[in-house]
Amino acid sequence: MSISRRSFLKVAITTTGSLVAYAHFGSPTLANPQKANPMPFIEMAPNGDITFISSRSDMGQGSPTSLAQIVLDEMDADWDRLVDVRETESADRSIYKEGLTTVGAISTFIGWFTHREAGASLREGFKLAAAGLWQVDENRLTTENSKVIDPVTGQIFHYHELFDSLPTLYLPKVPNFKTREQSTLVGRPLPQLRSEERVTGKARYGIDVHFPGLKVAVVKRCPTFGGTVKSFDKTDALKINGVREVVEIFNGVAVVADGFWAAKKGRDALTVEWDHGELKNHSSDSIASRLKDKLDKPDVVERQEGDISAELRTDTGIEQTGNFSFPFVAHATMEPMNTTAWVTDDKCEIWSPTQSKLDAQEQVAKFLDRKKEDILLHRTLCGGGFGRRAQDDFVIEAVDVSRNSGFPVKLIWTREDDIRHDYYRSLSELRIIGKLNDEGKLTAWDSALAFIDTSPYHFSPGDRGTKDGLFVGMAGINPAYKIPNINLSYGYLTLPITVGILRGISHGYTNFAIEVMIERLAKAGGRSPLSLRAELLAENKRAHKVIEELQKLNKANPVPKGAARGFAFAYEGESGILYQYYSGHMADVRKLDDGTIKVHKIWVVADHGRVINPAGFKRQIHSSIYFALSMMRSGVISLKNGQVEQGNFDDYPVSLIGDGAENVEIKLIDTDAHPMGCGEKMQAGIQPAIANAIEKLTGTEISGIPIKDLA
Amino acid sequence: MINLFINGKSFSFDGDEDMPLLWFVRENAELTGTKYGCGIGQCGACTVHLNGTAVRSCTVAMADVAGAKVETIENISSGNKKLHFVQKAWIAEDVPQCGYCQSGQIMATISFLEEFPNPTDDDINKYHTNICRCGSYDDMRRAIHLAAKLQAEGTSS
Ligand code: FES
Ligand code: FES
Repeated sequence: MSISRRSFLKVAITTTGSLVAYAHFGSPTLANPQKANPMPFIEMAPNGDITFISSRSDMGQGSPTSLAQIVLDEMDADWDRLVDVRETESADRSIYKEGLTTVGAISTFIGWFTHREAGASLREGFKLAAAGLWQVDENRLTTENSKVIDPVTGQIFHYHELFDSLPTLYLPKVPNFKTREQSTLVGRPLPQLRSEERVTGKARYGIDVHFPGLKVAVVKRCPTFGGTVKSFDKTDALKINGVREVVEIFNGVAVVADGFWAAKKGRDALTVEWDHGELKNHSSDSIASRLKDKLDKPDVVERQEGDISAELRTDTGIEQTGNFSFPFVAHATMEPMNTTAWVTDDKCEIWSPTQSKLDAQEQVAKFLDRKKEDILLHRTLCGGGFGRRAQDDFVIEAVDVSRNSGFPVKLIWTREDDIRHDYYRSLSELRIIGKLNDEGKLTAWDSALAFIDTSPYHFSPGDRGTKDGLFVGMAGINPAYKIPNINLSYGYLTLPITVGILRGISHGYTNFAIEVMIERLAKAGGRSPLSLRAELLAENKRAHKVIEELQKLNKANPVPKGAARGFAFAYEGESGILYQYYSGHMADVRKLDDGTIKVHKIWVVADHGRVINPAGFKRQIHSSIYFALSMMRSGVISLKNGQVEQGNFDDYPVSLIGDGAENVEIKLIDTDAHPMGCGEKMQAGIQPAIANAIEKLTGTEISGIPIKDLA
Repeated sequence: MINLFINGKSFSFDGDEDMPLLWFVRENAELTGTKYGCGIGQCGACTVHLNGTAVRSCTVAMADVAGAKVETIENISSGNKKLHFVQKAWIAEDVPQCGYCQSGQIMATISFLEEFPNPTDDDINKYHTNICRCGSYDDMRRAIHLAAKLQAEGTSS
C-alpha cells in the first residue's frame, strides 16, 4: 500500500451545524484535490458530540470500535463524547481507494494507515484554527480531550468552538503520529460501541428494514447445485392470502407477499419443475473421492525446493504420511441472509447486511446494466458475517425480485435457505508426507491438497475466474517452517457448488493438517513438539518468540492428571511485508465420565502487532473457541444427489453456552509491528491444538473433522 | 379475530391463525427487537415473554395467543434510559458482539433468573439454551451471574 506523504483535510458544516470531517489520501500530484472525494470519518455536533462514520461492516467483530479508537486517539478527541456510529454512505471507489469489503484482518490493517492519518490531520486542523484566532504560533499549542490549549496563556478552545474557523487544509506533510506513550485510546480495553442499542432491541439489522409499502419475498431455489428452473405453476401460491406476486428470477422463483409468513406459505404452495443439472448424481462422498484422485494429479505445483523424491527415497530417518479430509462447512450466521431492494425505472435503492459495499453495488449496476451512480446501497448492521456476507448473491437476488415484481421487497432467506445455499468452506482432501532424518531434523515435506475450485465464486468480482481466485481454497498450504526439501501442490475440481471464505479462509484445513503432522513427526522422532517448531522457526523472530512464550506456559502449567496436551502454531505473511501475524496455541483435553472428550483449557499466545483494543481482541479469541468447537464437533454439510442434507440448527448444531473450553488463558504480545485484527484468524491454530491433544489422549489419529465424541 | 396485548398495547389480528407469533410481533406490531433465527424453536432469537414466561415465539401460533399478554425486549426497561438489570449486566460485561441473538438471550435470562435466582454454572449450561453464533458465551456467563446479583440486590427498578 502506498500512502501519500501529504494530507488533505476537508470539513463541511451541515445544515444542523455539525462538522463533518473528511480526509483525503490522494496522490501529491493530484491536479485538483478539491475535486477528489475525500473519506468522511467523523461528524461532530455543535455541542461536541461525536459520531464515528464506519467504513467497515459491523458484524460483531469489533473493528468499528478499534477504528474509532485509532481516529479519536490521533485527533485527541474526548472518547466520552463519542455517542454514535454511522455506516459510511460512500459510493465512490476513489474515496477510500478500495471497495470497503470487510474480510481478513484488513479493517485494522488498513485503518492503521487511513484512520491514523485522518485523526492526526484533524488534530492539526484544530490547532491551526486556534492558532489563527489567537494569533500565536501553532507549534506551541497542545491538544487533549477535544480541546486546543495554549500552555503559555492558559487559553482553551473546545474543538466544537472552532468549526467555523477550521480551514480546508493542505498539510505540507502528514502530521506526526503519536508515540505509544502518547496514545490515550489505542491499547485501551474500551467497551464495544453500540452495546446499548444491542441490548434494547433498538439495533437495526438488514432483516429489520421497514417502510410503508414494503413487501416480503422468499425465493425457491433449485435444491440441487447448478440446477435451473424448467417451468413453474404459480396458481396455488397466488391463492394464499397475502401473496401479491410470483416472479421468476435469475436463480429461482420468488413469492412476494405482504409478510414473511404468507410469502413462505406461498412458496410451499408453489410447484417448480427443475432441471437438476450435472450434479444430480453426486454426493459429497463421490466428490471427495474425485478430490482424492487429484492428490496424485495436481493442477498446480505451488512450491518446489530441494529434491523431495531423493530425500524420501533414502531409507534412513522417520517418515510419516497423514491423510486428511474436511467436509463442507456452512457459516450459519445468526441473522440469515436478507436484503431489501427497491428498483424503479430510474432508481435502485438497497439496504443490505453486507460485508461488501462497493463490490456489491457495482455488481448490481452490472446486473441491471445501469450506471453505478444510480445504485444506492445502504449497509446495515450484520447479524454475524464470518465471510458469508462478502458474497453478493443475496443482494442481486433481492434486486431481481424487486425489478421483476415492481415492488419494494425485503428478501428473507429462511434458515434452511441459508444452510442449503451457502458459499461453503470447500470440501477438501490433503495428504502430507514428512520426514525427520536420523538427527531428528525435518528434512522433507511433501504436501498435496485438493478442493473445489473457488475461483468462479470469489467474493471479489475482479478475482473471479483468475488464479488469485484459487487463493480461497489453498491459502495456508505453505508452512512457515524452514524445510530443505519441500513440495507443495494442489488440484481442484470445477463444479457448480458455491464455495468461499469462512472465518479464516482455508487455513482452517491447511494449517490443521500441517500442525497435526508436525506434532506427529515430533512424537515419532521422540522430539518435543515445541522445540521442533522453535528450531524450524529459528529465522523468524516474531514466530520464534511466540513459540518461546508457549514453551514458558507449557513449563509453568503441568498437564493435569488424566489430561493430554496438544500444540499448534498459526501464521500469515512473511518477513518484509506488513501483513503478518503469529499465534501459538496449547490445549488440554480430558475424558468426561460419559466418555466424551472435553477441552479443559486453551492457551493462546498471539502476536498480531500493536494491539488496538485488548478487550476486543481477547473477546474474539474466546468466541473463536466456541466457533472452532462447533465446527470440529458437528460442522458437517453433506451432499446427496447434489443436494445439501442439512437445513437448520437441529441437524447442523452449533455450540451452546456449555460447549466451550472450561478455561482460557491468553497472552498478547503487544509489539510495535503493524496491527492486525484477529476475528477470523484464530481458527487456524485453535483447531489443530485441540486435535493434537485428542490424538494424544486417545492414541487414535485425527484425520480431519468432525471429531467423534467431542463434548 | 384474535385480540392480544403486546407491551401493554392491545392488538387484533384476523389473518392466518397458523402464523407464528414471531411474525406478528415483528411485522404487525413492528417490534423488530425480537429476531428470527431458525423458525423451529432451536435458537431462541425469537424469545418473548408470554403471560410472564419466556417462549420461543416462532413456535407459538397466533391461534394460541388470544387474550394473551406478550412482552418483548422493547418493554423490559422501565421507561426512558432505565435499563433492566439484565441489560445492565449485559452492558457491564460487554456481552454483545453482532448482537443479533441478544434480545432473545436477555428475555430468556430474565425468566431463567426467576426460576434460578442463584444459578450455578451447571444450571446455566443446562437451562440457558439460546444460540449465540458469535460465541459471546464467556462474557454472557459472567453477565448472568452479575444479573443474579443485581436481582438479589433489588436493583431491578
Ligand atoms: S427463531 Fe424461534 S427459536 Fe429460532
Ligand atoms: S452476539 Fe452475534 S449471535 Fe450472539
